[in-house]
Amino acid sequence: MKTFAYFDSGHEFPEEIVMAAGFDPCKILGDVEIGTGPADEYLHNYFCPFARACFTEALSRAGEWAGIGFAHGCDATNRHYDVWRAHIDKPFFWVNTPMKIDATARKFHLRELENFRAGLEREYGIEISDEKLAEAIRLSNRIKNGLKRLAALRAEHDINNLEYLELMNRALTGPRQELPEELERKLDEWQQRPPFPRALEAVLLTGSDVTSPEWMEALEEAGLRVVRDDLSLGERYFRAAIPEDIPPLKALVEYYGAYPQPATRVPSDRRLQYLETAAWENDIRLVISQNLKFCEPYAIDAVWTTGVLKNKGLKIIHLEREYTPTLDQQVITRLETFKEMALQ
Amino acid sequence: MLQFLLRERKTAIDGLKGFKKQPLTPKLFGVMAEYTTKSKLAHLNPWRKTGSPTAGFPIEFLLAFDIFPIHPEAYACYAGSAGVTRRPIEEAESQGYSRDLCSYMKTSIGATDMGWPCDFGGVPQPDFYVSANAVCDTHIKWFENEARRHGVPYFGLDIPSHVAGRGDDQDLEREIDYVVAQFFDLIAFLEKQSGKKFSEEKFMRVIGKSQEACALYHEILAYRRCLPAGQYFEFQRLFMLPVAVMWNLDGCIAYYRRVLAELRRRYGDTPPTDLGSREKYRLMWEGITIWYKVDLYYWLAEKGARFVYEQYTDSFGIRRRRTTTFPETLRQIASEIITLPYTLNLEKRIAWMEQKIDEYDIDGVVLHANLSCRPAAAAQQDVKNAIQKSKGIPVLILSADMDDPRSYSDEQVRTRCESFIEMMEARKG
Repeated sequence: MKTFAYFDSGHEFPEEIVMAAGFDPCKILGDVEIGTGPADEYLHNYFCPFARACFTEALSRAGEWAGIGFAHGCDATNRHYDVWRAHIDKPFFWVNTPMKIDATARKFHLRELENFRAGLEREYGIEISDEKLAEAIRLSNRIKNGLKRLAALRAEHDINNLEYLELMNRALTGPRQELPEELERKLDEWQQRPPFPRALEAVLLTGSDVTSPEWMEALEEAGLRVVRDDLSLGERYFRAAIPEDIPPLKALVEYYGAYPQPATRVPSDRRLQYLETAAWENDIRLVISQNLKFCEPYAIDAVWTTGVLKNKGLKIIHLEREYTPTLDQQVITRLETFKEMALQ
Repeated sequence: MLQFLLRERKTAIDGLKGFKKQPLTPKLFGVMAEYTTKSKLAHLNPWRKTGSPTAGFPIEFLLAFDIFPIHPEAYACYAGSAGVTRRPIEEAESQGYSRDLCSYMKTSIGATDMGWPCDFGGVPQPDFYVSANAVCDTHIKWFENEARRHGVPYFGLDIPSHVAGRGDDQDLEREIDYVVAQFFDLIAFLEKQSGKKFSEEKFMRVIGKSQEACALYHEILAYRRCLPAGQYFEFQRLFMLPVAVMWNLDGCIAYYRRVLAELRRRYGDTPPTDLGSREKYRLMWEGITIWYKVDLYYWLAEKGARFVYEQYTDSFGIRRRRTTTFPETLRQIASEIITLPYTLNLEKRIAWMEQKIDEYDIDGVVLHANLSCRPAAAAQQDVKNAIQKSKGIPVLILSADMDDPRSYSDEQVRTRCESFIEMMEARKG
């Protein structure tokens, strides 16, 4: 099955429409090990390094893809689309996903999804029926359900931070058809794991999306185990199910407002509520908030969210991190100190 | 203000020196002073509400409810012109705001929290905040955050991105439908905040004035095509204030009429193309100005290089077409916000600039790679390559920050500008 790649800043892109069109959706995640030189020929180096890594990946891998989709999210997706389109010879699709989730926004969102469906049909000479969409939604829900059950095991068994990230990477970039069975096998394996290590402290992770292993390893080295999060390569992707009892495009619109919201949308209170609830559900005391350098929505939100969560009695640290494959010992030391002080 | 002068004597003196350096006419100085004075007094009137909009937000909706616009970005520009933004920015950073975030936002937050008056970046507390993401994410995040910090309501206007390749028929119409639908949500919000019923008639009167003010503004801009130009960037960036903030449309119209009449006396009713004393180098600037460095523009002027066109100042005369009916007006406003010159997609942006290069007889273009306004700085390399290829003129990408002087190096900028001037000179041969 041919791959259709997409770039979004949260979890805006409607993968299920691509699946119904007969493609495997693949979220472009960049590669922290590869320098962003190719992208930097066109984008200033003070733009989001993750976005530049994604563009670098697209410049080298676009030949493998049937097309490239973007969803309206942060300033990087909104302003870099034109640059990608100017330098990559592939069919491009833009979905104007709204910043709000009220009735007015939902109506527009539905029209944008209809337009995206029609665009794919026109470009590839295919028909994307409601039946195919419903089938894609059912598959997507099976995947989300599998991921949700696996993620819940983080608080009970010894599943390290990197394994969780690798699981999410696989889910968002690999073929989808066989994924539910893979997840079932993984579930059997993870259920056999030893219990949650006593030496580690359970934490809630929030902020910019973590897409590369070094940050997860840093947390692990500092004795912090992520058991809850609100990341796009995490709970934002699987926490909510897509309704199956209403017309499929409407269902995607409803789903858009139902999952943990990213910092690019308003009202932001919903994001904070999710964090509070997640911490409370798992009796978590420590919160790690971070933003990738130049990631403005999370950097702005952090001042407020850390303040509120502190006032709720949670211990929280906020860090701005670089996009680098090097394990930063200074960061690990800060995290270790935070853990020690928080648990005194 | 008095308290500020007593408490922050050095800042006040430095600021006054900064203002004094601006190329202000007595009338423009009076206009600027009128806005800050009215801003300070606005909350004293219990019958008149105040609301804070961002750039790109249709202020006319506020005016139709007699709501006074408290414009934090405008105050941040005042502070930038005064050259006093470093301390408020560092105050905001001490609260946790990253060095990489918008310097307008940090100037505003810091100056407000330090109790500075609006002439120096502080914001008199409005009754509510409204913003649009037409220009950037930050407008939404910043104002939602401020509303929460001050415990007042907030309304966000979601502007879709009309990216390259989107059609100007169905795609644009769908985007316009969405923005127009939000206008009705906005009206309901403003009715609630003001306690007044919306009047289409009054709104159309406001729009009529706004369209007139913008038409005058663009007529004045057209005189910058003259050789030599009627006005330059260092003046224009302040001159746009009345039409950008619209706190007094009648005053704005009267002021621009006087300026236009003066230009007509000087140049004639239609801007002539050649008066025989063309500037040595006529330049275009793209991006927000460097507020704290008017000296750069003076230094370039000494070398014969003058900025005669900017998309930035052009964008503020946003009402470009007269309308007569309410539905037509709403659609026109939506279209104008979505396709603002400042935020045009890459294809349209290049075409727009190429047209302006011809119209204004431009010798070179400076693209401001603004460190705290990433969306505006996107795609500049493509713009540079396209303009150099199609027009054969030098294009300079200049790295600085609109309001944060810590990101500016005089020597580096001047060295780069000198090379740029040499390139223009070589081209003239």
